[in-house]
Amino acid sequence: MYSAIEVIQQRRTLRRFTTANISDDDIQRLLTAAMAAPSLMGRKPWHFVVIRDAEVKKRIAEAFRVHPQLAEAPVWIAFLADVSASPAWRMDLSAAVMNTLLQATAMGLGATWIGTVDSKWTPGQVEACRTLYIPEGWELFAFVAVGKPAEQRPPHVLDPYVFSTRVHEGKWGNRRQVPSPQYHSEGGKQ
Amino acid sequence: MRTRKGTQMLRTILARRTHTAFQDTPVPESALNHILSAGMLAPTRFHQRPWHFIILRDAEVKQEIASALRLKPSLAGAPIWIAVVAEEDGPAAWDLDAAAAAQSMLIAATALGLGSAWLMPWLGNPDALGRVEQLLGLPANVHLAMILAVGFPAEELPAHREEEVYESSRVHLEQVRHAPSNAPAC
Repeated sequence: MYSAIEVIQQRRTLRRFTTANISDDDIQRLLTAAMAAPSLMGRKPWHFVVIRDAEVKKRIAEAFRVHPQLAEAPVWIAFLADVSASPAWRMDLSAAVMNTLLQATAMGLGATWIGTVDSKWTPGQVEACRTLYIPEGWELFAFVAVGKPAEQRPPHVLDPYVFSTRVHEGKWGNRRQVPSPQYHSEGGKQ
Repeated sequence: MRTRKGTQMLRTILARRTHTAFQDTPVPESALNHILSAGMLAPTRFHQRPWHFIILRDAEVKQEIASALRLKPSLAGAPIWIAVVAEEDGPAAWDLDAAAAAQSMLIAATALGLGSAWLMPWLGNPDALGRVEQLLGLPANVHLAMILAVGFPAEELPAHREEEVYESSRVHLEQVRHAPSNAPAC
């Protein structure tokens, strides 16, 4: 199970996808990963809309002014939250998106998180609400664009400066001077 | 297409369970570093990286926080607590960035054979949150998002089962179908 560490390093935000289709089985695995995320008191406030219709993706992408290339991804998954189900719905949905991104990376797919939660009543939200038929009380949290990557990006190398300045011991301000792990020598041995 | 790596990842994701009892065995520093790196490799909005991580190891401090928050006392027995805190970063997305980092860390911990719990028992209790933030010495613009308890689990919990986790009633095709109301909100 160690290879999850490797997948975490490999996950990159991608913009360019091939037009190759993504199977229903793959989508089901991505959504299984999403639904396995922890949620406050196990309330699971999430719902999902799988979007394959090219026109719909294009319209929503335009309304949200996201990079047009993202609309070329064969599948978009809308992450919706039933707000009344949990006061922690924002964090719960965030964890579900993170799982989906990692699962997609492990499967050799590209996945990009398109955040939409803080743009209520923008043209994008209104378009998505009408098109996806989002009911009263639900929020459009994010889209995840999924496809076969048409670009390769190297794995993340964590900036040692970031690592050393963001970790504190016991109390805010007690910085910990420890070098970040050397991934190239440790990742993916098993 | 089913790949070996994909199957392995899903197995790790399904193996993540909330643990509330831990062994005394210390968490190796190399494992802790992997977990922290996993947090810092998570995506953040506009690449703002608003998070910081405070490592709590002192048993008394953990117990004090656990009792202030009325946590299950055995949670204080986890050798490591990681308080995920975040600076306000303009459009309020620090909570989302912190949550993505937290989930990435839990997956890394699971992959390393560690148990974990995601704790935020102060929701709806700003006084308790304020006390813990004070104890951590947080500046005014830095917020506590969650605490992750990490350690070797006292007992192995069975993994979630794929067929129970996947709920088809939550998956809609092209449009929301079985919503509570028939009309969209807009």
